[in-house]
Amino acid sequence: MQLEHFLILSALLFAIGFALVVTRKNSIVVLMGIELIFNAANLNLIAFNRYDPHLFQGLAFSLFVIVIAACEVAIALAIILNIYKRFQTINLDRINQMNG
Amino acid sequence: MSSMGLESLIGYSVMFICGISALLMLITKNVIYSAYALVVTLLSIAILFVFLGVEFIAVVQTLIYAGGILVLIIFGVMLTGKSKVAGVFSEVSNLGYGLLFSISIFGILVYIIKQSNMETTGWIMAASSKPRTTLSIESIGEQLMTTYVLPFELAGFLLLVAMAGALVLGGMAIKKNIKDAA
Repeated sequence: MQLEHFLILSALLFAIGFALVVTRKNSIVVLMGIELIFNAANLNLIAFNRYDPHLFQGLAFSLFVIVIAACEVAIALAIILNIYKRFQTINLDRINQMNG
Repeated sequence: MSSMGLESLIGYSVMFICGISALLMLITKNVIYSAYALVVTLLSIAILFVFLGVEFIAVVQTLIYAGGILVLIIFGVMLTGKSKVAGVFSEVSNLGYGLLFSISIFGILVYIIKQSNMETTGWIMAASSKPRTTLSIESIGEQLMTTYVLPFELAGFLLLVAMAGALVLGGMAIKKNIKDAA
């Protein structure tokens, strides 16, 4: 399995994640698109990790990316719950007030 | 040689599954379907990590993403859905521009990857000529506790802060709910 194919798969995942973030109105689906983008970055880091002389730098980076993704999802879902309590919707087009 | 062929056959099938389920996330409008498609994508990425020789990250990926984050997302869908009869659907906006931009980003990235010809780059050639070694769990722990100790501790602190923040934010939502109900 060549390095190039991993990079192309990761580019595909990034493009799909970007499309999800741009085209969806449901904020949870937007969050899933962001997760897909994180995974594309992780796949790239791990694919290059094989060629690192210490075999570690890509692994360390992807480990911290996973930790930060976990934090991000927890906070984002708490914020989405708050938005749902306030606006009774999580449709991003309907959330158009600040300090409502 | 034949075992090598079998390995790459399995690897490319897993890559195919990964791409197809990611595309399914884009095609379907049902939020639950896209959550399940995301599970398949994340698990197949974990399998690809095994092929790339980092079993530790594959396990972490399975535990945290497929186990933790997906449960959180499905809880989010459950707590924010309004309709009790039909499924939860996501509306679509800016479909034309979104697809145009993402397809062109994909095209540009593939073009750059094809142009850059990674396999013939000096440092990758040098690393490929050396014999394959794998990283043991002991050395991962040792490196995390020596070279990468500052980011490691910061990540722990970040997790603590995120947990407290999520509790406070989620607690505000729940407390308001109780007050409204009373």
